[in-house]
Amino acid sequence: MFNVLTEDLREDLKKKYKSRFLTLLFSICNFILLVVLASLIPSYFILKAEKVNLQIQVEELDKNEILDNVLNIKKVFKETNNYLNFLSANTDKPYIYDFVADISNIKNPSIQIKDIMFNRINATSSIVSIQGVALNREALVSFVKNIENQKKLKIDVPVSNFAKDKNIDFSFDIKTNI
Amino acid sequence: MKNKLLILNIAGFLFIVCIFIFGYFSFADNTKSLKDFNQKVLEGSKKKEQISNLQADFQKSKEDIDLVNSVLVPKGAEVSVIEYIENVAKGVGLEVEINSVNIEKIDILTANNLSNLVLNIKTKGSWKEVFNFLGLLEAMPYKSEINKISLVYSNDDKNKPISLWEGIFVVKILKKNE
Repeated sequence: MFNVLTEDLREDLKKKYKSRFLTLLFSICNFILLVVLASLIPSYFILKAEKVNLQIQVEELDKNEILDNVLNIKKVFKETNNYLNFLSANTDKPYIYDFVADISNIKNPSIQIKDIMFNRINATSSIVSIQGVALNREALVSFVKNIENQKKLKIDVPVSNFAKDKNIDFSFDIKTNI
Repeated sequence: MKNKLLILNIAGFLFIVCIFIFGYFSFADNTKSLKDFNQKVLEGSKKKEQISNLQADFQKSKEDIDLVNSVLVPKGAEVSVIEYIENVAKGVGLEVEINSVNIEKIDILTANNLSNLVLNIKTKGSWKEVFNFLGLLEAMPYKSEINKISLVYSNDDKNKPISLWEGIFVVKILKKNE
């Protein structure tokens, strides 16, 4: 039948077929694409919702108060550590009170202390100066020796202290680790 | 009519393709944001866990931190420290006078937000009272260091049954600057 048609009609028919074919092809394509698009829509909205959800979480985590809290805690820890360094230094130092108490106990009635001076040289050493009146030379020597023996120290007593033989005004320095 | 249908189909096809291209970029953008947020949330969660641990450690150490802080004179508490020392001296029966109050700033202390509160204390009383005061001064609940002591026997008033001792104490107490 197709062969019976004239050349023009045949060409026209071919064009119509082509047009119908393309229409069908695009219709099918459009249908498939629409189905795919429709199936992707829920995913798109889920993605959007998830993004919003995560965004809120990020904002929550970025809140300044958490950061401030951490910085504050870190500052307190750092400060406390620094303080501890100072506080832990020389904690086992002997007490001046104990030293003076020992001197007071060593002293016998023939020695009268009139002046006790304590001067710190540095964190671990100091000088204690003692002035007083001794009944006689023996009492003074005995007093100094007793201090030396008990405190395991070497005391240099100026010889001028022994000029008088009675009621001696004495003074000497003791170097200590207080 | 048929051509119109074809044009409509092609137009529809192009429209859907445009939607696909837009959708693709939108999906890509959202997915990238989602990945970024997810990464941030993961990092944030880790940080949050670390913060929780830090806070737990802080709570555990709080008692010790408070103890460390309690031995340092807080800023603005100088007067209460002076009054505390005056009360201690009066408590043992001494006459007390604060000769001077100074703030000593040393680089190493300043760098750690600390300074020394230097008190020059003058006392008058019996040997026992002065001696007790010395003990209490050394046992003060603050980190302190006695730098100088001068205990001088005073027998001005011969009518008094107990001899008097005049004392000068120079004490350094560690103090917070802020």
